[in-house]
Amino acid sequence: MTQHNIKKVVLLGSGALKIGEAGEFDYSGSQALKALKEEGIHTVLINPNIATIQTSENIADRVYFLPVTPEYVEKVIARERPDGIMLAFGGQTALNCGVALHKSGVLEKYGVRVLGTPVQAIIDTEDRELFNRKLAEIGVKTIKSEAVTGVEEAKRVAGELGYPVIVRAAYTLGGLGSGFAGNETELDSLARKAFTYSPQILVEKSLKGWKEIEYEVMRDRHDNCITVCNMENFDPLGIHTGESIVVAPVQTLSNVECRKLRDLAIRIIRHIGIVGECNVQYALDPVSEEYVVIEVNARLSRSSALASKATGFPLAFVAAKIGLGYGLHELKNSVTKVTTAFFEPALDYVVCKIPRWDLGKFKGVSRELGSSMKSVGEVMAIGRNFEECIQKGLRMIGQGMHGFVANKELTVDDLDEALSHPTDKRVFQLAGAFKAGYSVDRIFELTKIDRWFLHKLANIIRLDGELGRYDSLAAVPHALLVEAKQRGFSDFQIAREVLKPQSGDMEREVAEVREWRKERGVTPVVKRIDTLAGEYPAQTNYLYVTYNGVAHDVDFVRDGGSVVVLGSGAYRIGSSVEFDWCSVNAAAAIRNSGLRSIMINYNPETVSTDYDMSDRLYFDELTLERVLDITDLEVPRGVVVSMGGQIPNTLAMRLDANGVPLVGTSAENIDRAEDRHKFSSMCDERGIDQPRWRELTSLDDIYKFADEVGFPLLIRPSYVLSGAAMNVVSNRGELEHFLTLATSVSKQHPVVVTEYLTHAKEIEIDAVARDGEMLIYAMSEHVEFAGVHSGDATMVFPPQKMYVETMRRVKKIAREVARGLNITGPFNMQLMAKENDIKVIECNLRASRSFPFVSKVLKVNFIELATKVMLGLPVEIPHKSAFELDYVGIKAPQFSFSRLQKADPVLGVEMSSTGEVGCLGDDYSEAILKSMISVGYAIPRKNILLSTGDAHAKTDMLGAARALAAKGYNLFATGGTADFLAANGVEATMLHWPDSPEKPNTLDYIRERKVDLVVNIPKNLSAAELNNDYTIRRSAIDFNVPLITNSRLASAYIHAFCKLGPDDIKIKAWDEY
Amino acid sequence: MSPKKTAVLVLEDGTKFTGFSFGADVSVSGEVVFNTAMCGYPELLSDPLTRGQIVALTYPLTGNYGIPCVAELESDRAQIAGLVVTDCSDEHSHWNARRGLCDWLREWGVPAICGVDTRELAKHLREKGEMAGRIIIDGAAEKVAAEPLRGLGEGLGEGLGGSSGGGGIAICHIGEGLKRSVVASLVRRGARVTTDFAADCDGYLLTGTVDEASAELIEKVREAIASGKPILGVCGGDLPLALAAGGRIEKLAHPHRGTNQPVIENGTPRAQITTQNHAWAVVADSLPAGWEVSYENLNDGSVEGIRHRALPFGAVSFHPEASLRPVEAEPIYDEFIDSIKSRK
Repeated sequence: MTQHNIKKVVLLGSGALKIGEAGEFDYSGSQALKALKEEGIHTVLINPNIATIQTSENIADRVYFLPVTPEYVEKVIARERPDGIMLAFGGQTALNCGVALHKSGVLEKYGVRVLGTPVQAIIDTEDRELFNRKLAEIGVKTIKSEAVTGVEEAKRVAGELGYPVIVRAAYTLGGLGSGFAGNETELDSLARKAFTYSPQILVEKSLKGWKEIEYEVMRDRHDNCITVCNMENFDPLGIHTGESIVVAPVQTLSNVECRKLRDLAIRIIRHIGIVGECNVQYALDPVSEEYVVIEVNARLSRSSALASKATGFPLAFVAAKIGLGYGLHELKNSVTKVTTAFFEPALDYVVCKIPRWDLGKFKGVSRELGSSMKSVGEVMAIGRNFEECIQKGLRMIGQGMHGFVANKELTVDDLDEALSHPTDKRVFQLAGAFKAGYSVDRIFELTKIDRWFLHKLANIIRLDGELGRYDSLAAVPHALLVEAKQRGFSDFQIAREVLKPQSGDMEREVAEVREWRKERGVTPVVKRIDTLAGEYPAQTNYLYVTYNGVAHDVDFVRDGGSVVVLGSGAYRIGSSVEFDWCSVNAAAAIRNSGLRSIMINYNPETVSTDYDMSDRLYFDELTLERVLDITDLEVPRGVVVSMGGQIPNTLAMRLDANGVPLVGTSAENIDRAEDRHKFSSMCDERGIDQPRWRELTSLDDIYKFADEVGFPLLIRPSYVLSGAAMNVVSNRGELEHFLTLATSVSKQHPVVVTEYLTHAKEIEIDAVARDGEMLIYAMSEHVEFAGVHSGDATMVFPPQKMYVETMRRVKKIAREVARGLNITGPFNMQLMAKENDIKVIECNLRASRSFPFVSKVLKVNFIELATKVMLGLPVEIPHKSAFELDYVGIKAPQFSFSRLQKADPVLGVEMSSTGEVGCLGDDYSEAILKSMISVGYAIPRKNILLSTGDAHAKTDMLGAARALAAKGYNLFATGGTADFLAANGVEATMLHWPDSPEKPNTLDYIRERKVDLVVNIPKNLSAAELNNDYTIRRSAIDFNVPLITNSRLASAYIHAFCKLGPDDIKIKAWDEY
Repeated sequence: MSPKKTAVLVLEDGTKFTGFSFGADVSVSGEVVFNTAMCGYPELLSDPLTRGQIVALTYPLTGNYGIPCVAELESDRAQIAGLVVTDCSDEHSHWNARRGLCDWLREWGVPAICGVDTRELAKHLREKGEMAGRIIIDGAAEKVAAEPLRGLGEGLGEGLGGSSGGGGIAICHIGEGLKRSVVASLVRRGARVTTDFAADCDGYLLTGTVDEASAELIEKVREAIASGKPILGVCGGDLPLALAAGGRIEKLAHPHRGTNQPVIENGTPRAQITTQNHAWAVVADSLPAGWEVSYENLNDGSVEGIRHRALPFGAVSFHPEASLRPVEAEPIYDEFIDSIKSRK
């Protein structure tokens, strides 16, 4: 069956999660590793993303937490001497790395075979010119375009094609460096930027307004091809597919069109010679049979992960098997286990992918959607009609929306403008347009969204209006109630439209709707995703909930042997793959304990939504309503709310109030941790210090408190994750300015004002307790001082620069808290230490983002332990102390500022990183270096620009500057910094500020990439940043020059690369530490 | 929107599915079958092979892109006896649409129900077997459904009924349910298709059955075999060919109705995805000497095609053409035409 004798395979991961390359590659990589393991192949994984499932025990045989760059991969290859390598499972990062290794002859040198799609085929799809030529050979149309290598050439081509044009950079992920240009000026700036990412850019005619369609195609070495799924973008061409709502299967294409595109996809995959999986994107004229191929991705992608979840067909798993030489017909459909993998899934439902943006977290960012990706996550909703599907999806994205209607009104100045220039709020503006009386045709003219979708949305508006005509549930006709539920209305939406409560959280009204409909038998059914629409019997556990059905596909055992795990929902800033790792490990622990695990989650980019990972998977909403629907049916032994981050955590109280048993810490105690007052009095009782804080409702009170404790102050609303609407103010003016913003967030919630310490060390403790007794803990320290969000901080575990006394006291505090809250399960605390004070900043009675990191560094699975403890099972407490490790783990954040046009790349109390890596080293410097290189920093070659902020930061940085000078680096500095350095005997060339006309100028040096690293330390944490500093930071991002904005981190990194050379970085696998 | 009228699908075994009427205001009886295709309802519902059937679509959204002009349909009319769906779009959207599904069904007097859990219905039919059923529209009279196709060349549209295409190769059609795309596949290759069995021809085209084929039909196929001219059977054409050759056919445990049926060419690693709509298959062991199985279903191992080892006779259960437009090479048609040409 397989064609060659492969014993050892290297698989490349995708590194840290970033915009355009997120959790989907954990899913595809894990699937591939599973497929290889099944064949008895020894697998070696290179991926510094420590929070992933694929880098967990028993997935790959060997894991290297190293950068996925040609340099490091070559070293691993030299050491491991594998027979084969797989490039298609780690996104663009792995693909680019693989192509580089091929071109440099490394693969040939070590006799490593590329398994699956040959490298030449990859090159043919990545190089635009080759690609167009290749497709022209078989008469397939591509977009009229030309590849250019210079800005002037780009202008010439654009002139010939006619504006608007789209600029695309070759070899980049998620459309980085791409965009639309309506005229020559726009093209000039766009092209300059694009050339910093890629030596070649493509200028092409814009097809704005055409339909965008994708096909997921597979081919084996026998030339057998299948198209597993087709998908249609709700938003027309012009909006990156990662930014678009995507529907599967296609809805508005005729059979003739579908057949044609399928046929083309198969011809293309054959001609290019893909062996495995690829994705073909088309633009389709909405009024004729004209089409063009936009691109082909010769690898697993975000779309393929979505297609896998949408159909139940494990594309990555099958692609890995094909890579080993299997024919599609020789593999089994892993859903039915009886029928063949050579088939095309038939869906009997519709799915809707909706992107999740977090643009509100970034200062100054452009909110307009376009040809490059800005979303940080996505959801997939499953329904049996479009209305049900999209309303579920709009609730899932977790931005306070209840569906398409019954939301807080959005205020828009110019609706026409908002519709024709879409932002992250576009779909809700459609609802606004309907409400404002716009017709389907008018909206179509403004948006070019196919009328079919608009008619369906209009149908939701119609039902909404009908519901609103009644004032009591008794008055609503039964048929209308049923139809509303069938069209995806939640109990909340019905309550809001019918009962019209004036204020409050509506809990009572929502419960009333629920009771009312249950009494009348209006309850949903559970359907199975079986890949073939019921044609053959299937035993899958892949389920969803719908009102469009009369019977359940499954039976409910109700023997008290099942435990529900609530997953983490859409990836967003602050909640990402780490919570998926926790959820998956909790489900595994449940299974291993002889119980049945039931997962609820709706994020298609995750491993937790792989139906192999639990005994039952409900791919559905994590709303109270849906979780209760499921627990009503399943009657589980308990529900785990502590693994999926904040979404499940906030459900805890209400689930408990509805009589759903929680496992682990009681709801009452979760509330005592979440409620600041209760938590504070618990701390006071136990003598635990906290920064002074007050929950205040009037401006006068706030000023009074400010006078009492002094500035800076931290201002935030209660019950949030990742500091939404959180800010630090350093004077009265800023305070006044910010309060108007913060209070507009939620009028019900008063403002919490907290004393803010500067230059304090921040410490985290992750721990597991049983009945109030702390069983195990891991303490880490931040490289940065407190004030940088813990998700953006660089974490060191075990701590390297902490007093034993501090550690002892932190441990004691954690013990007290565990006791005080009678914790059973995981918890996490953040503390700060300054001089002799240790204060608790935050305490969460759930797993935190650092649980996978500390578990893997310590090699003790905290989640497995916590789950067993919560289930009341006996556990063995490892007799292992964090202090005994003779290596260091460092977790470093990954930022995606290059994607977020105009956003200020500065760190503050708001989290802004999109991912992280975790690396191990024999010492602090080595671990720092590995982790920084893993998140994209290159060790500078010769020139470094320093602009080091206030006096304190300048002093902090002096040692690093001396080290650089000693190492022979050329230093450049802005005025004040240059003077300071000169006064301290460090030579630096002075560069003028960006707004100065004088030369040499910082901006020129950055634009011309004459510097290899920019260190720019903001002068304070407030909004009032100097424009010059912003320009330096933003230019560094836009021109792809590495940037550091924190003096502590900059020092640590500089000292590390001055001390260690590239050859000092050891190539050691996880198991060798 | 007009008020919804209740409609019920009642199966032979008494099982009921309630929904709303959205087609013609008549009740009807027929054989209830399900189809798992996600796209292509205009072609399916106008396919002569579906005549007399109450078709349930498992894909829940129907009517999205309306109904195109007649030339884009498999025949000139709605052939099905009744339609059962989960959700039908009130408003369709497509540049090529001439009308809505609902209007079209009404024109041809076809009743339709929406709001039915067709997945549950499909599971029921899968477990209990396809069976007769009635669509009962609230207060509507029952009409007599068209008999399933039996005659030759019936249900063909204008220009297809007698002879079609002006090519130099004459092909005579034997069987039931010839559809436009099959004819188009041959015409594209320079053939003309006639249904006049008496006329002189270069080869025979055989299309499927919905049941055990009639004696008259089998007799004709035998004559065709005896003539030694190339025979191509498609869309179930392997059934009459096998019967004529002396083989047997059997009812499938799970009928094949959809666009995702995997078949493999016997003795090769070459597999393809096919469109199918049949409930019967040839019994492999029953084939007489000189005949062999050419295609097999990868899911259930059933026979999907047979051929003669030496003579130019071959037939498949599936529909080698997938669309009215030329798509991926359709080698089955190419081989057929080539074998005719090589004899000329």
